[in-house]
Amino acid sequence: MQTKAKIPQSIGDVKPNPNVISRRLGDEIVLFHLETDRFYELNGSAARFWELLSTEASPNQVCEQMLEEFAVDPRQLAGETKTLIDSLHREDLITIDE
Amino acid sequence: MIRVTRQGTVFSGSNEHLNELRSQFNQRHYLRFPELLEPELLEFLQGRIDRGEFYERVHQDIGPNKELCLTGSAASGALSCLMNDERLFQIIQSITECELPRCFEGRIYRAIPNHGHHDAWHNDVIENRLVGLSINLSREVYTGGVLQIRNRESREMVAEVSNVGAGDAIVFRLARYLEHRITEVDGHAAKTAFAGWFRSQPDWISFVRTQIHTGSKIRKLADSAGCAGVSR
Repeated sequence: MQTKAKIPQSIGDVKPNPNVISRRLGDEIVLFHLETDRFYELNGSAARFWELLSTEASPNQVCEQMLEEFAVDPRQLAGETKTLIDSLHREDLITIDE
Repeated sequence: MIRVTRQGTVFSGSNEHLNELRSQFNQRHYLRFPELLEPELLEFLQGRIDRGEFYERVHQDIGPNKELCLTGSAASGALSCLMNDERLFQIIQSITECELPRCFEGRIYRAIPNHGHHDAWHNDVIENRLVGLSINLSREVYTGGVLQIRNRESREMVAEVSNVGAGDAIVFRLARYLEHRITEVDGHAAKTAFAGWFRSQPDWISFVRTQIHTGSKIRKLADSAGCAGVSR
């Protein structure tokens, strides 16, 4: 049985920025930031992360769901999720209530 | 009802409704989608367009034409993102019986009364274009600026349609035996529209990637390599 992938507690409530539009095309999701006029592309598991986050799930809930769907070590998933959240936040694609 | 929202494209009709739309498109060569853009989205886009700049543009390889084209506005990117939607592609294919679109390419243009802004007769049957579409983004009701469709050989007019409802869209057939044009706007109000084509090639993501080399703004945030060992 896999252990849960826990995101560090320091990350608060994570939500997609309402100024971001997303569209899935095949395995990829394209994001467009309405304020910065910039496109982004999310592939594979990053796309799935965004999709699950858009359902108002918490990062931990998203990770739990992704563990169900992807063959991945929970700690590795937690680490990659943290990195992805950092990247998304840096680009103002998500909001984090600390 | 077909509606493009921030969350995606929504079709709220039945299969019978879809059949009816298909039949209408077959007969008329065009269809109107009332309020294709949800009002909140339209208002947002209009605000962005107000802040943008227009430059005069002449399309090559067709007869006399002239329009103002929007540049440097997030409205263009937003509409591109909104319209490149798999659900919308499926609906367009189902109604028009064209090949499945993989991309929508469009631009925001403006036609000002008495400035000679119009489109000459042409058919757009190039570059894997399947079906034409124009969304009205104008703040005021304009007059003129009508889409006309005619038989290419006989020159018999087969359709003439204005599109003045806020957020309404016209979808129209592209075919070798047809031509279309946009007449000049008269009266006092300008026409602003997002117009373009559903295309079978390239896929939209490939299309957007090519914009990197033309100065547009796309960044690749993460890819499967960034999630090594993660697979479906």
